[in-house]
Amino acid sequence: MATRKVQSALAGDVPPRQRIWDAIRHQHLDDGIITMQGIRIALKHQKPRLSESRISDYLRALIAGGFLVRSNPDAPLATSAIYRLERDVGVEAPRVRRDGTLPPPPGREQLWRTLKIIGVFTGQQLADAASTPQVPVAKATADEYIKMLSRAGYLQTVVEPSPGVPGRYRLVPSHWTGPMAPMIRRTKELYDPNTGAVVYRRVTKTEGGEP
Amino acid sequence: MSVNAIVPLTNVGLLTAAVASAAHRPPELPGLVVMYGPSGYGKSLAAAYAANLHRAYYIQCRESFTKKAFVIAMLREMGIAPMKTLNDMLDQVAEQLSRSGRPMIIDDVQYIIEKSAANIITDLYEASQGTIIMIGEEQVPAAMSRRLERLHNRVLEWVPAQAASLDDVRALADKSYPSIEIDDDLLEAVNDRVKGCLRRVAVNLYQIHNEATANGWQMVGLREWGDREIHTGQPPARRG
Repeated sequence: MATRKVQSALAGDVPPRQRIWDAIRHQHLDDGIITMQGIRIALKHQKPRLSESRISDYLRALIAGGFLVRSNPDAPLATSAIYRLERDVGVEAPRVRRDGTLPPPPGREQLWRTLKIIGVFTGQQLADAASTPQVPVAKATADEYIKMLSRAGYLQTVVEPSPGVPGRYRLVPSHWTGPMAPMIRRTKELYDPNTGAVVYRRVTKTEGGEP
Repeated sequence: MSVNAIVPLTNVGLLTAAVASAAHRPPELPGLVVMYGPSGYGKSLAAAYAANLHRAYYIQCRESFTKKAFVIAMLREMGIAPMKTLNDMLDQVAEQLSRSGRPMIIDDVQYIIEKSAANIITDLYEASQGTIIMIGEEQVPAAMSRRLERLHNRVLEWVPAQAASLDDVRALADKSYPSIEIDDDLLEAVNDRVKGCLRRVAVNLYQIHNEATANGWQMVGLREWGDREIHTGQPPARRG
């Protein structure tokens, strides 16, 4: 292999574990020595700040999952721990639980992937095509996702829904913003992590008019 | 809340099995899968299922793809910010493919198979040794043996998409319109007329459902349907 190193990083508003993973991989590609200190320095100027415990929790999970290995386990106390990356699985930070197991991918990710692939769909068809034995997706979930995406202008309505006839939709190709699935937040707004923007906000009327 | 059962379609099963054997192959075996068949046979549905099962990257080819546009589309699908040169970008994709172990599905390859962009797939396979699934129309295997011999030699499984069987049509009907019962003779007649094209089967099922609802039928067979039209996608013949 050539000595030239390829440096890739994920684009968009990535989750905290991704920033920690990036810092780990950066050290891995640099000299292969990974320390807490190094991660702290890499994350120093990033906002929002990540707490120390957040970082060490993720490191512990990575160790449990066999991604990261302590390379000086016999060092005397008060010596800083050094790790090496045992399993480099690429740019994407592994979603790893505290006990080291990997959870199934979220249904939202499958919906977002599927609607790009299958073209025109109804809620039922999308739910069917997005379901796997591990992660089944209910029609109601697909319907809600379609509703939010259409309001945000990501989907085009091919057939308007009417009583007895389900609506049919299609992704507007220019609105495939990236691989991270837009998420519905608890406040009923749709957030697109690829662009880092809230793309739809349900307008709630205040009784008696806006103050 | 209804939890979804997966519609057991023939082509979905075929592709899933092929991708699984490629993803878990011993390292000395090649890792390419090619599914080919006419449009409307449910290849994309099969692709969606396989993609979700293996968290595969999915690229849809366009007629306009240059080498560079093709590689940028791959990086976009991976969410990776592209480096400057084509060579670096190809390395980025290859590195991510082999590290992550996620397969890559390249759909509608018939658009690029005769062009220079197709050589990207060869380069990518050589550099990553990843699992790559190509999906395209009937002429794809022939075009590959003519133009991309090196790639052609690295195919682990060829998966010809099958025309819909009566079981497929039945599964689709039961899943899409559970409220009405469609008799086997009508389903068979529809499947014969559309020559096993799943997309046209779906159109006909929709019309059968509408007609049944309008007439208040609980059950539709060939007898109820009578000489109503079966949609075949052919323009109507001129009447003298």
